Amino acid sequence: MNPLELLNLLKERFGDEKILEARVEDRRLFFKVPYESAHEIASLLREKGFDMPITMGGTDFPKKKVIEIFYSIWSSIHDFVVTMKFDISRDEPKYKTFIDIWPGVHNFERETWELLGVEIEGHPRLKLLLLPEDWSFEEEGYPLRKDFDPSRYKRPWGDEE
Amino acid sequence: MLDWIIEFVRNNFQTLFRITFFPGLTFLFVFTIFAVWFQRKYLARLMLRMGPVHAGKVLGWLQLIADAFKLMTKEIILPKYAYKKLFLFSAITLPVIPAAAIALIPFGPGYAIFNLPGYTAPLFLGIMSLYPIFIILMGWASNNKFTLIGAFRTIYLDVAGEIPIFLAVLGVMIWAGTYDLQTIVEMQRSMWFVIPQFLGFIVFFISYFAMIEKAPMDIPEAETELVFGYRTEYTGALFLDTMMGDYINVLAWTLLMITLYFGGYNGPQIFADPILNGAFWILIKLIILLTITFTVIISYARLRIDQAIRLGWYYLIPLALANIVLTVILKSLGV
Amino acid sequence: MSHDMQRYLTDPFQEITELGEGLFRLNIGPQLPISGQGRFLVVTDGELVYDIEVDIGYSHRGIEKILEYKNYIQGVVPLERMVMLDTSNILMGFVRAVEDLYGVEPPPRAKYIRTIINELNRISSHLYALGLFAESAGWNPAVFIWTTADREPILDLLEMITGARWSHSFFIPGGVRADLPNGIKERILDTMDYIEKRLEVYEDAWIYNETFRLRTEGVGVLPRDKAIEWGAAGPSLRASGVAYDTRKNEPYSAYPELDFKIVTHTAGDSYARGWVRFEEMKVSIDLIRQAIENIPEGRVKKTLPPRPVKQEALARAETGRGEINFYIYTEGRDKPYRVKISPASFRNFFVIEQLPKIQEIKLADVPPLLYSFDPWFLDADR
Repeated sequence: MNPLELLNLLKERFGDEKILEARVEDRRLFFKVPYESAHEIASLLREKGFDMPITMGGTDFPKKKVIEIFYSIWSSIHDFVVTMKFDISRDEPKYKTFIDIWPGVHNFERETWELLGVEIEGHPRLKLLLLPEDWSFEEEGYPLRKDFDPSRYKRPWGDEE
Repeated sequence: MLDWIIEFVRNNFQTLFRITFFPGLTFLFVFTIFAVWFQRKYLARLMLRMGPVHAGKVLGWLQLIADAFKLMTKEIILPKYAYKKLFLFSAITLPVIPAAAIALIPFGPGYAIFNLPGYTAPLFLGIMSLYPIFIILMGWASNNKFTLIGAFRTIYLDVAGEIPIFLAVLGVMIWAGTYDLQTIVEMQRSMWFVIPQFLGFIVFFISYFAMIEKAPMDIPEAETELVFGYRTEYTGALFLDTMMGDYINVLAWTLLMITLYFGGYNGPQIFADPILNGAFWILIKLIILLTITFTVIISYARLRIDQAIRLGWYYLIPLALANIVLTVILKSLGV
Repeated sequence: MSHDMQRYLTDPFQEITELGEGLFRLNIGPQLPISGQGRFLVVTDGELVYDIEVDIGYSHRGIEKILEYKNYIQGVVPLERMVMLDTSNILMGFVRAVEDLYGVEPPPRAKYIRTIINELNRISSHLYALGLFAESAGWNPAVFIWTTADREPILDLLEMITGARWSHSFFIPGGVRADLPNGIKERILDTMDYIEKRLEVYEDAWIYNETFRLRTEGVGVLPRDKAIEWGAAGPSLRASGVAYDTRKNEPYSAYPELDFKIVTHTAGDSYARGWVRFEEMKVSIDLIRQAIENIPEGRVKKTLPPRPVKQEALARAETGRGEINFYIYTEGRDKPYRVKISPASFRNFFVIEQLPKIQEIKLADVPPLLYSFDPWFLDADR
C-alpha cells in the first residue's frame, strides 16, 4: 500500500467530509479528521498495519481557539508514516486517550498533558514527566502554549542584574 | 617500672617484633597501602592511563598515604537510623579478622606470629569464616537498602565460595597428611603442591575471587547498582578502616594460596639468613600472584549472584570432591 | 519551613520501608554511579525486579520552546545541546525538515560531506555507548577508557573538518558551512584503518568475552511485536529483528548512492543490542570509505528562498541511538511556529519501563539492561 491508496481507502470508508486537508508526499500522508471519528479511524489504521507511533504532540492556536493534536504512526508493513490530526477546543482541552490503540504513545501523551495542558481521559499515569516536581500549572501555566511567557525564567547574563 | 618494661622487651623481643613489625601491624599497613597503590598503577596502565603521578614525584608513591590522611581528617557521619554501636563495632573489628588469620602463616622456618603446632590450617579457615559475618553486620546495621542488599548478597556469595575453598584446602591437607601449615610448607621443598593438587588449585583460585570479593565476583559491592554495597554509609576513617579490612582479606587469602600451593617461603638461597630468605620469597610470590589477580579483575565482567552460586555448586563443589577422591586414591596407591 | 520540608531535612534518605510483602523501592539515581542524569525507581524484593519507573526531566531545557523564538539558522545551536556526543546526527533531522519546508535540495558535495560527518559521529557515539554498556555489566572501567581513548582520533578529524571537537554547528539548512580541508582524505582513511584494527581488539577482549555474554545474553528480551508496538528505536529495534533503518528506508544525504546493509539480530536481548551497535560501526567505516572515494566536486551550500513552500514537515533521521524525528509547523515567518522533537531515548525509556512486565529481571540486570538501550537523558529531556 502506498500513501495515496491509503487515502483513497479512508475516503471510501469514511467519506470525503471526514478526511480533510489531506496531503500526500513521499512516504508521508497528512490528513485531518473531526475529533468524533478520530478513534474510529485510528482503529482502522491499526488494523491496516500502522503499528508504531513515532511521534505525537499538539500545536496551540490561540487565534483559532483550538489545539491541534497530531499522531504520527509508522507502519512496519507498508513502511510509510501517516499523520492524523484533529482539533480540540482550547477553552476546554480534553480528549480520550489513544493508548489502547497504540500503547507506545504513553509517554508522548503524558508530555502533551503537562506541556500543553490537554486533559487526556483514560490515561493511566498522568504524572509530571519533564517539568520539575514543584511546578504549578495555576501560577506558571503550560510551557508550550503560545501565551506562556518564558522571559520570567530568564537569568541575568554575567554582570547584568 | 621502666626496668620491667626493658626486661620484658628484651625477653620477648622476637614475639614483639613479629607482632609490631613483620609480619605484624606495620607490614600489614604498609603492604595494604602498597597493594592499593600497585592495583591503581597497574590497572591504570592496562587502561591506557597513567594512574597517580603527582604526589611523591616518582610514580606517585605518596598518593595512597595522602589519600589515607585525607580520609582520616574527614567527618565520620553516623546515619540517623543506623544501629550505631553495631555500625561502629563491625567496621572497626573487620580488619582484625584477616590480620589474626595472617598471624598463623609461616614467613620463614618457624617464623610466624603465633607458632602454634598442629591445627593451623583449619584454624585459619575458621577465623576467615568470621569475616563475612562482620560484613553482614555492617550492611544490616547501616539500615540502608543498598547496604542491606549488599549484605544479603554476601550471604549468598559465602555459600557459593566458602564450601569449595574449604574442600580444596581439605584436599591439600589429605595430600600432606597434616593440618599444620608449617609442615605443609616444609613438605613443598622438593615439589610445590600446585602440581599434585592441580584440580584443587583451580577450585581454590576461582573461589578465591568470591572470598576476596573482587571482580568478577565483587557482587556484594556492585557499584553499578548498589553504590558501594555494604560500605555505602561509611565515611572518613571508618571507610579507610573497611578498605583496610578488604585488602588485608585479599592479603590473607593470597598468603594462604602461596602457603598451600606455591611452596610458601621456600625458594633458592639468596640471603644467608633463612628467615630473611623466606620473607623475600614470600613477598616475591605475593606480588606475582597479586598481579595475576589484578589482571583477572580487569578482564572479566561481574557475574550475577545466581550465576556465582551456580558456578559454586554445579562446578566447583563437584570438582573439589573429585579432587579429594583423586587425592585419596593417589595417597592409597602410595604415589 | 513547611512541615514536608522539615521531614525531608531530618530524614533525607528513606530508611528501610516496605511496600508490603517484603518489597523495597530502590531509588537509583540521579547521583549514583551508573544512573546518568535520570532516576530509576526500582521495586524489588532484594534481587527480583517487579517494576522499573524511569523518572526523566532533570535537565529539561525546553528546546522545543526555545526553537520557536529562533530562526532556522540560530536554532541549530540550542538544538545541538540535546546530545553532545552525536550533534550532527541530531541536527540532520532538523536540517532535513527545514529543507523540506523550503523545498531546497542541498548540493551533492554537501550531501557527501554530511554523510561523512554523520558516520564519524555515529562511530564516536557507538564507541561511547559500548564503553558504558561494558561498564554497566560490572566491568572495571578498562573498556570504557579504551573506547573513550579511541574516540579521540575521530574527534580530531571532526575538529579538522568543522573546527570543533563536538557541537560543531556545521550543518545548516541548504548545505554545510564549509568545504573539506586539504589532505583530509588520507587522514580519514588512516583513522578508519586504526579504528578497524581496534574493533578487532574489542571483538577478542570483550564482545566475545564469556562473562560479558553470561551477563547480557537473555537479559531484557524485547520480542519483535512488542518492540514495534511500544515504539523502540534504533539498534534496540533492529536487535529485535525489525530491519528498519532510516538511512535505508527513508534515504537522505548520500545514503541512497552508497552500498550498505542494515545490521539486524533476532535475539532481542541486551547482548544483541550491543552486538548490533558493534557491527554498525563496521558498516559506518565502510560507508565513510565509500563516501570519501566517490565525493563529487562542486558547491557546498545553497541559500534558502525567502518563503517556505509548505506549512508542515515531518522529517526523520537516524542518530546513534535511533530514529529522531522533527515535526515542524510554520506560518511562513523565518521562525517555526511549533517544533515537536521526538528523540530515540524518549521512546526507548518507555520500552525499558515495560520490560519487567513481560519477563523476570534481576536487580543486577538493571544496569546492563538500561545501557543496552544506550539511554541519553539529555536527549529524552530536551
